[in-house]
Amino acid sequence: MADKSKGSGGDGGRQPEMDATEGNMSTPMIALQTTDDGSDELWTAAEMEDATPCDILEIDDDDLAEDDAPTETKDADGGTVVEGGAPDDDAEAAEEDTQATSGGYNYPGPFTRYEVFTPYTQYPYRAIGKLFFKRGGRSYVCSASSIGNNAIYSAGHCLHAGNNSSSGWATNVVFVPAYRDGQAPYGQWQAKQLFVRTSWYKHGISKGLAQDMGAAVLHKKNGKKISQVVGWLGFAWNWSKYQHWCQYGYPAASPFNGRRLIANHSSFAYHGSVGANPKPLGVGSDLTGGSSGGPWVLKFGTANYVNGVNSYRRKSKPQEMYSPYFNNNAKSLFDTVRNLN
Amino acid sequence: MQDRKGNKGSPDQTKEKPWTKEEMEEAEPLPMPTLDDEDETKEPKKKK
Repeated sequence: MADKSKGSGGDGGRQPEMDATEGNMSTPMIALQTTDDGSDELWTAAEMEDATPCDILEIDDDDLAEDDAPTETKDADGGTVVEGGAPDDDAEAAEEDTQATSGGYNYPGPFTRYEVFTPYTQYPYRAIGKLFFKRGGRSYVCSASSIGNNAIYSAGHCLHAGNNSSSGWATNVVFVPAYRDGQAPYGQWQAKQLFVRTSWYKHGISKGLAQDMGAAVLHKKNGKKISQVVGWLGFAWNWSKYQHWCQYGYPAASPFNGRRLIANHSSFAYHGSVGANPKPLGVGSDLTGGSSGGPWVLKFGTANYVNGVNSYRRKSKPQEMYSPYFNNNAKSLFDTVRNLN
Repeated sequence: MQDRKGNKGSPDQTKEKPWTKEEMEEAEPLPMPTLDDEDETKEPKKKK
């Protein structure tokens, strides 16, 4: 219908057009119709009553499955890729200009905490696990998550004491994904090498909390990488602080017992006071010791990006938790462990 | 081992025997770093 002179309306018929970038189609222009007596009543009552119901579209299950297939981004190894959509480095500064007074909460920030009842062997839960290690002759637990290749991500204080000494490294470190009630459905994965931010290593709590991030490279097990067995979470950095996270971990200090995976949903509440900008992010949470190093997951259930870790709290504020802000420092640590075999 | 991007690595970990179920259940939660109360503000002061 390219010849406009043969169109049905006063404007001439336009060829149906498709917006190539947005995927929308349009009809030819519809001319305004009028009745002989000039009224707006184009349909008579009889015509309206005689109108046949338009058939509801019917499709079979195969069509539906095909249409609803999620679009997952895979990398060469077949899992969820890092992506993380790193916005510009100055995104944080831009946020300050536009949202400086629009976000955040006063203590206690709102949160919803519950025990995970979904089988832990389902992805992405199975990429999260419990971390066992020894330090100073004692046995401790933290939490961690698989981030691809042979690597896991956790808190710096779980892997090193922050005492500026080689004696501060944890020993006999094992990651137990999907741990539940003493059961290890995917076994124990021994650490090969540990990494923390140098700032944490040297200064610990006094000046290193803003970089309380740690990671480990694990030995293969039966010839397979951890990521081949349990999958891995993506990784996001340099995102705006105004986010909603699902925190995970195995809190073991009272009132928890460390036997189950606990979830906590919360949004950015306020900044911590330590470190240089960007300062740590505070959220509402009542998770306790043992949850340290558990991931703050952005876009949980769809993209599953690690965007924080359970790090520290304040003495008289039992309903809050802080994570280092994940910027290029967090990504640097991520790159270091992801590239090692 | 320390790289130029501010990461510090441990020596290779010594392989040890796996943890027993009892050892795992008896392991203590690592105390979470806890700061004395500070004057936290809802938002940082905006730079001028």
